[in-house]
Amino acid sequence: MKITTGLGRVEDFERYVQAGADEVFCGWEPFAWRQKYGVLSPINRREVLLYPVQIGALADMIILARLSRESGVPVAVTFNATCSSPGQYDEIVDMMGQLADVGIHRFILADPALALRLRARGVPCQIHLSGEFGELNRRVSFPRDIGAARIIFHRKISPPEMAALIRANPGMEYEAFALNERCFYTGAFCQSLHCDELPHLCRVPHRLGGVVRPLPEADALPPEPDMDALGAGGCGLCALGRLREAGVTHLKLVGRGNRPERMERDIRALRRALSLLDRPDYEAAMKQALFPAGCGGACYY
Amino acid sequence: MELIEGIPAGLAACFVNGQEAGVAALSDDRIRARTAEPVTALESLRLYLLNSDGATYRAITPESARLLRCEPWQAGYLCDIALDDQLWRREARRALGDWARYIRLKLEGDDGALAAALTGCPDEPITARTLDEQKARWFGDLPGFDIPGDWTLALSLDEPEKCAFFAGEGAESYLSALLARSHLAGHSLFSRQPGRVYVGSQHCPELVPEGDSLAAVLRRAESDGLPVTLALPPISQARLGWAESLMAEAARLGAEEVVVNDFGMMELAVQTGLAPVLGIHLNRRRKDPRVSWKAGWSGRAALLAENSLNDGAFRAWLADRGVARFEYEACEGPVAVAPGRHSLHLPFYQTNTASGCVLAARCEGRDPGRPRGAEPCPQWCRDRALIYPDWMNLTGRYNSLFGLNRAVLRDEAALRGWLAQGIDRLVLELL
Repeated sequence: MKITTGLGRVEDFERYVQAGADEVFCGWEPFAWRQKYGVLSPINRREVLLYPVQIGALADMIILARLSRESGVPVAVTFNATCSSPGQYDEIVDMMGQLADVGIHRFILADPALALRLRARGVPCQIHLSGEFGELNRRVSFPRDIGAARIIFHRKISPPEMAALIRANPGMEYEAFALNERCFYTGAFCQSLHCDELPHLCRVPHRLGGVVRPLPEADALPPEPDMDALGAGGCGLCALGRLREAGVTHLKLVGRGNRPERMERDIRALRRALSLLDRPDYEAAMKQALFPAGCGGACYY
Repeated sequence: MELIEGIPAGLAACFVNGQEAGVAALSDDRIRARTAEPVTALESLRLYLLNSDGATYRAITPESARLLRCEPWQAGYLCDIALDDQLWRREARRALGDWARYIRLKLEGDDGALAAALTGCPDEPITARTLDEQKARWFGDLPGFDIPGDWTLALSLDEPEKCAFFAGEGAESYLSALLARSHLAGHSLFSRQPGRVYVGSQHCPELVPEGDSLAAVLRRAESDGLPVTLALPPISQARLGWAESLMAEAARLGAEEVVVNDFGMMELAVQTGLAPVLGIHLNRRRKDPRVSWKAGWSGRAALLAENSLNDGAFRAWLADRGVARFEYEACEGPVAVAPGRHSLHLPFYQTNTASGCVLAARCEGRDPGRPRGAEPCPQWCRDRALIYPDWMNLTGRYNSLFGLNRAVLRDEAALRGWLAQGIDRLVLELL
C-alpha cells in the first residue's frame, strides 16, 4: 500500500518525499478565485485564509509539477467541494485544464455535477472520487459510470464494507484514511462552516440535555486529548492488515495545513508501520515501535 | 522589519510581470516572490493583502519596486523585491499584525472568545436544560400567519414514537399534538389539513419504521387519504439488504415516493416502482446557523444561492434516473430553487450527520469519532439531545446537528419567497 499525504505548501514537498510519501495531494486556489468568491464558496474543503492549506499561485503548481516529475511522486489536486454553482463548473474545469497543461492530471472530486462536466469537456485526467462524494454501496454505479481511477473511502466505512465495494468496482485504486482528522461527523454530510473565525460546529461546547425533561445528572464534555501526539487526531494503524486484505491500495495521511514537522513524523510513522505489516505479531510490534507509552485510542476502524 | 516567512496563500498575493507568483516571505519593505521562470527585469508588480474584514483584499501597486535578486530554488525561483511605498508599509504591518492577533487568539484555546473577537458574535453560556425549553424560547413569541394557495402540508414521522402516535390517532391529532409540543399551536400556517406524510428519516436508519410499524403507519395514511413518501437516510453497504427489503415492502404497502440520499437507492427506487425524490444530503449547500457572522457574508451571500441542481445538465442526468422532485431545506441565506415543483423542509435544517451517532457516544461516555460496534441502538434520542447556546439556533438531535431558521415562521415574506420559486410542499420538521 502506498502513502498519499496532504500538502499545504510547495516548500514541504521534498521534505515529505524524503520522509517516505509515495504521493501527495494538495489544494489549488488561485487569487482570482479567492478574490471573486472568498471562502464562502470554497473550491475544496479548506475554508481558511490564515494558515497554509492552499497553494495559491499557478507558478507554485508549475514548480510542484516539476518536482513531481523529477521525483516520480505523483500529485493530485483536490477540487472536492461538495457543491458549486453552475457558473463555477466551467471555471473549475478551466483550472483543471491549466493544471493538465503543466502536467498535473489527477483530480479529487466530490460533486457529481462537476465530475460530469469534467468528462463532458474532455479534459484528459484521472478522477479520484473523494470521500466527500457521499455514501457508497454496491448499487452506486457512479464511480464506474465516470471511469473513476480511484475511490477514496470516507472515514466511516469499515474494512469489510470496503472489500464489498472494491469487488463491486474492480480495476480501480482504493484509498482509505490512515492518520489524522477523524471527524465526528461524516464529511459528505457535513455542510457547516470550517473557517478561521468560527469554530467547527462539531467542536462548539454543548450540554447533554433532555428533550422534554431535564437530565438529573451533571454533564461535562470529555477532556480533549493531546492533539499533538501521533494518531491523536485519528489513527488506522492497527487496521492496516485489514485494509490491505480488503484491497486498499493507498493510505491517506490527512494534513493540509498541519505543521510540517508533525506531517513528517506521521509519514515516517506510517512508513514504519508498513515495514512491520508482514509480521504475524504486527499490531504488538507496531505499538511497541510507535506507541511505547500507549496509544490514544482514536481509532478509525 | 524582518522578512516573515510561512505566509499563507490567503493572506497575501503578488503578480510579477502579470503572472501570479507565490509569496514566500514579506516585510514592510520587501517581498520574496516564488516564480516558475527566472525574472530578469521587473516590468510590473501588483500586490494584494487581506483586509481586516477577513474577506476582501487591498490592492497595492508600489510606487517604487526594485528587483534585488532572482535565484534558483528547488524547481523554481525566489525573487527578492525591495519596496518603497508608504501604503505598502502601513498595510503590510497591519496585515501581519492581524495575522499575529489571530495566531495569539488561536493559541489561547478559547474558540468562543476568538469567534467573538473576530466576528462580534455572542459568546454566551448555555442556559437551557432541555430542547423543549429552547423551543419555547424560539417559538413561543412567534406571531402566526397563513399563506393560502396551492401548496401541500406534509407531516414528517421521523421517530418510532411519532409513527406509533400517527398510526393510532391519525393525522389531525398527530399534527395538533406536534404543534402543541413544539409551542407552535397558535401558528395558523399549519391550520390546513395535512396532504401527505413522510415516513422515516433522512438521517438515521434506526428511526425508519419497518415490519408491523411500517404497515400500521401506511394503513392509517391510507385511511386518512394521505399519500406516503418513504424517507431513507444515506444507505451504507452494510445496510443495503435492509434498505432493499424496506423499499420493496413500502412499495407493496402503497407508498408512492421515496426520498433517497445516495445514488444507489436512486437507481433501486425505479426498480421497486417508487418515484425517487432527491433527498437533502444530495441537495448540498453551505448550511450553518452562524453563517451571517461569517466574514464576507453581507457581500457574498448570493454566492450560496445556487448549487448543482441549478445546473441544467445535472438536472437532465437526474431526470434520466427518474428524479424530478428535490427536497430543499429552509436554511439561512438566499436559495435559488431549481425549476420544477419541489419540497421545503422547515423550520429545522440539517447541518452535520454522523454515520455513527455522536449523541450516543456522549451518552455512553465514548469517543464520538470512534466507530460504534454492532450492538443494537439504545435509542438515547428518545429523551436526550445536545443543547447549544440559544443565540446559535442549533440543536443536536438523533445522529445529526440541526440549525433553525425562525425567519421562515416569523416573516410571511420569507416563506412567500420560497413558494414563489416553485415550492409546492412544506414538510414540517420539528424534531
